[in-house]
Amino acid sequence: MRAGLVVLRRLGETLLTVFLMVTIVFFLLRVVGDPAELLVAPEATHADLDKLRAQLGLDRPLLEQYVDYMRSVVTFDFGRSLTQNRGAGELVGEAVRPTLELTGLALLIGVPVSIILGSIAALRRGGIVDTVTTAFATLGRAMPSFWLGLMLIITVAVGLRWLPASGYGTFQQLILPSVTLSMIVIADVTRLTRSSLLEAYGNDYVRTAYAKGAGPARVTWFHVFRNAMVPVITIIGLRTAVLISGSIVVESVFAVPGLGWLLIRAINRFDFPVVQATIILIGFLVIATSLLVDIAYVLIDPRSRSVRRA
Amino acid sequence: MFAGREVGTLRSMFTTPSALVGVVVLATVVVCAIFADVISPVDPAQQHLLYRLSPPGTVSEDGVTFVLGTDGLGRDVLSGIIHGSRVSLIVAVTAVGLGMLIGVALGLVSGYSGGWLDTVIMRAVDVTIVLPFMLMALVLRLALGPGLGSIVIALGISGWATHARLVRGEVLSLRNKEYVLASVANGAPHGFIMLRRILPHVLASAIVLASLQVGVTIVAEASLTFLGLGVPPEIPSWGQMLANGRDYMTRAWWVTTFSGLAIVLTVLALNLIGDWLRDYRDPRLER
Repeated sequence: MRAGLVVLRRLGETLLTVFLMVTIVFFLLRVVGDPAELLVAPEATHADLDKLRAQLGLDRPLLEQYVDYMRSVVTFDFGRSLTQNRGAGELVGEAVRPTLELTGLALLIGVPVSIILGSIAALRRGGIVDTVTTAFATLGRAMPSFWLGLMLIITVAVGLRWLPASGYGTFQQLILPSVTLSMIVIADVTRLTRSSLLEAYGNDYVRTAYAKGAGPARVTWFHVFRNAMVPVITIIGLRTAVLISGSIVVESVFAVPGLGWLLIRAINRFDFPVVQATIILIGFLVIATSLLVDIAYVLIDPRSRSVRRA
Repeated sequence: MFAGREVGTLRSMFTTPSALVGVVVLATVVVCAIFADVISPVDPAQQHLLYRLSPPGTVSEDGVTFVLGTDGLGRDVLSGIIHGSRVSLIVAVTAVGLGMLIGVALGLVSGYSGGWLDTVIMRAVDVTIVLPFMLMALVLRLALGPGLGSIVIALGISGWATHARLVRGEVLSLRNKEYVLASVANGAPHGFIMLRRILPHVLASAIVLASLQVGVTIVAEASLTFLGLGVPPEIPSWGQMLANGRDYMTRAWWVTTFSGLAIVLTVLALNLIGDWLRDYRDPRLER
């Protein structure tokens, strides 16, 4: 199959996934949960609840609500915020930028660091860098990102006074949350780069390349590295999804007014339309990321153009 | 006393230093959780109001040593951490167990029966995996409302799909093995074949996956609790201590530092054991 066709098909699949995601979020919050109960104070009476349901249109048949909701979501109308006199879509739109900046910077820090560390560890297997890197990655995997964030605030911001502890607006304020978030990438990608490189060295084409007279540098960079990067890109893509959801907690720690911060604030204020819109947008970003990774995949690895993905 | 294979397992554990460290640390945490009332120096809920935010090592007038300091209400941090291990372990293990139970059962049926049932279950897997673990757990927790039960269900249901996918794959490769076909030819009922002929072979990989999931689940629970959406505040938990400690983090670093370290050490121990289990079962799976 040609690359264009593969991309087009993935695009179709992605649209379907987005549709499914919105449907799940809608039904989970309506059928399993009750938005009205989420909204009212604990001491509210049944009459209060009924009144609120009628007000929000929650007393209508479920299917009708669903069709209505889907129709408005397609036109990017997510309803109005219950606590601020603004559209939920507008609020969410404003929160996208900080989240994207945060995850983008986290990737910008995390990917080079982990590929460099992983490569050194693989090339000097058993050396000091290898041992330290492996220990570092193992520790990083066990560390909750919000705790790392708090520790960085205590040491770097409060103790050393090098960087601001929280907020958003300047580049300095982005550094600590991005470094915190980048640990999610570093912990996994370093390990994978190392093992992927080691595995690639064992392949027949390495021997062939040497036999054809290629030097070690050419073999490493041209043959081994390129092949070893395929699984690494997959993991980076998967990690990006985790980064976006990981930013929910990290944004709350550093008071970055992104999607995660908005979501938690809306939950605490019982602002149901905003909660729903934020979850859908985060889900959308995650799905869009995995689409981008798949496209990158098709461009890098010719094999993926012909074989149907599992 | 031990069958040959088990001796091999034990020996491999003792010759892998990281696994041994993991087992020792985890055993300590489990002992703390079980004997929390005996081990913890003071009642974790008791407020020593004269000794609020005392640094680690402070000794009170009536001779109580606050080894890891006290929090903003004068509660002993060490005792809080010891008691908090209970809820972290119980929630994570029950949630992973729940996810594993659902996942293994559905994966088994999906792979064995094939056909439309397989399609339906696998689409459900795809749908669950659409949202990342944390986000899925958050949505479920919102839908289910507050409470310890709903956090367990939310975390458990978020994790079933990985099990289902793994088990189905293994069942597909086992279904046409000679000994399974022999069972079919003998006229054994499907339930018997699934539970007695296939399940024992897929259980090992499901357990390895589960052991790696427990750590992730502990972190997810602590994150949700930290955000005020997890374990109810009246139950002592690590996530809650971290959230409380955050308010006076600049004056009392020890509350957040030590309660977070408890999470790191526990998850680290679980990961080391999980990694070792995986490598021991299949050394090629280094990833």
